[in-house]
Amino acid sequence: MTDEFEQALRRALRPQHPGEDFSARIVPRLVSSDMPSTPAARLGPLRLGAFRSRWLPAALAACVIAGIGLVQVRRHALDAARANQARAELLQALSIASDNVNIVRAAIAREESPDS
Amino acid sequence: MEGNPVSLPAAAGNLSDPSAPAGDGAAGPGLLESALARARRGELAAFRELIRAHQDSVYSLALRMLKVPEDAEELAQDVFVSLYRHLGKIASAAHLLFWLRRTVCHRAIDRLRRRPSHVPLPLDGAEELAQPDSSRDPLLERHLRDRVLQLSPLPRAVILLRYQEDLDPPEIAHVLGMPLNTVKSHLKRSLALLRSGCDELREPISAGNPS
Amino acid sequence: MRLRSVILSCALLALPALAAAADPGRLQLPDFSALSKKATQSVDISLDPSLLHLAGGAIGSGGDKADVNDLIKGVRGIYVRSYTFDRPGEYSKADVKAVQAQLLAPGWQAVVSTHDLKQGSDVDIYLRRSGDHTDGLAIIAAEPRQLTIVNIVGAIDLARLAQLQGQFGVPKVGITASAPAKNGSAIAQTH
Repeated sequence: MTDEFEQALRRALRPQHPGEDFSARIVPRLVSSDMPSTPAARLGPLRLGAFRSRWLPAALAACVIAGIGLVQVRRHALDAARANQARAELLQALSIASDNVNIVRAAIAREESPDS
Repeated sequence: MEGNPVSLPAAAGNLSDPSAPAGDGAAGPGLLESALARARRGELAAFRELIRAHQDSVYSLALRMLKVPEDAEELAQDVFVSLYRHLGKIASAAHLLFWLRRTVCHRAIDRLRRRPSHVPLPLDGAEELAQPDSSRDPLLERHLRDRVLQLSPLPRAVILLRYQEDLDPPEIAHVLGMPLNTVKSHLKRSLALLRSGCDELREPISAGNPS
Repeated sequence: MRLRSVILSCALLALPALAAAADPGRLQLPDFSALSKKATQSVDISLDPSLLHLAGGAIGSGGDKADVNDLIKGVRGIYVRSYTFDRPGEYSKADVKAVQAQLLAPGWQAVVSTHDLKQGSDVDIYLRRSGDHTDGLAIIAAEPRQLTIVNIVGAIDLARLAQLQGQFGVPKVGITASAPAKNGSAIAQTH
């Protein structure tokens, strides 16, 4: 009886699929995850003539600088990920080497003990 | 040699739960290790493989903890975004699974503590509609799901980790960071609660079960 | 034209020798992709000097963390291949011999070997010396269901490496190389 009940509970709690495009909905958040979110600015009506003459060059320069900044942010994020990866691998490699050295040391210690 | 895929074995100790079963997807342990290594190097396609391998488990835990599909979707997405930021600290595929389960459970419990205690269950039965129609007793199973949703957050997490994720009590204790005896106590009480009121629904199973 | 192609050919042929001369402590590890496919767990790590530098920076500094950086300060590369299988016989002696043959080259010396006849496992440690300094370490651990090869290029303190286990968040990995039992073990030969 208990087994049947628990089997029914397992069937009831089978994992459910979140939808075909679940991972696709996450990806845009990954790309922008290092970027601070900024509230959208509310723009008043534009006077194009004045905008062109006074603000357009500055706006273009700001876009270029922002673009370079985004590339730098992305590169730093990738560099950090690579460094973390290398760190994990280094510790893993040292641990494996350490394990094997200790196996040998244990064998030697056992052989050299007076009881052997 | 440097171009070979990198994969790491499951790490013992407090970094991972080496006895955890493999992820949701059909990917075997070797493929998940490979995907993890490639994701750590920045390959987005590899990270999407990891998402696909674990999305069912993460989303279902979130849904059955938070009850509301929209909240569950948001939490599940948050967990994977957070995973992306913490990839460098994930030592193995088993560790990844442990990390996901622990993160989704803890964040769901935190959200529930901040939320009003009574949240009406969704009326459209979205979860039931999504289930494949192959269960032996859909009525009992729906009833069980509803009863699980009525448990308090911590016992609910324990039940989900036990019967959805198929973890043993020590593994559940490790994921939730609670004493083993507490896990066993939650399991015992929750199962008794779930079982009560199900007797009249369980009869058809007993009668119809050829085994 | 002919002279140029001869010179080019000689240069290409000399490249491996030049590489070996530049990094004499480095082993040429075979392509183990076939073993990797059969393995239930596999480790494939290749850390060249630039990646080691990156890793050292990510480890941080101060306190115990300084010990790891201090341990690897003389290291120019770390290469690990480790494969765990469901059952014995998934790798061949030939796979190991391809590496062991390189350890017969001048400079390499087997410093300790353990052979467990009962368990069927061997662990051998080799050091490569140039004059009075060490420029390479190799470990070959061959068990019925696990093969592990470690090559550390440069100088590393074996005693400190042994003490590293379990510290600084270095996980105790599932290396199941069982310590040879007292009975039935051909004992360590220290050279």
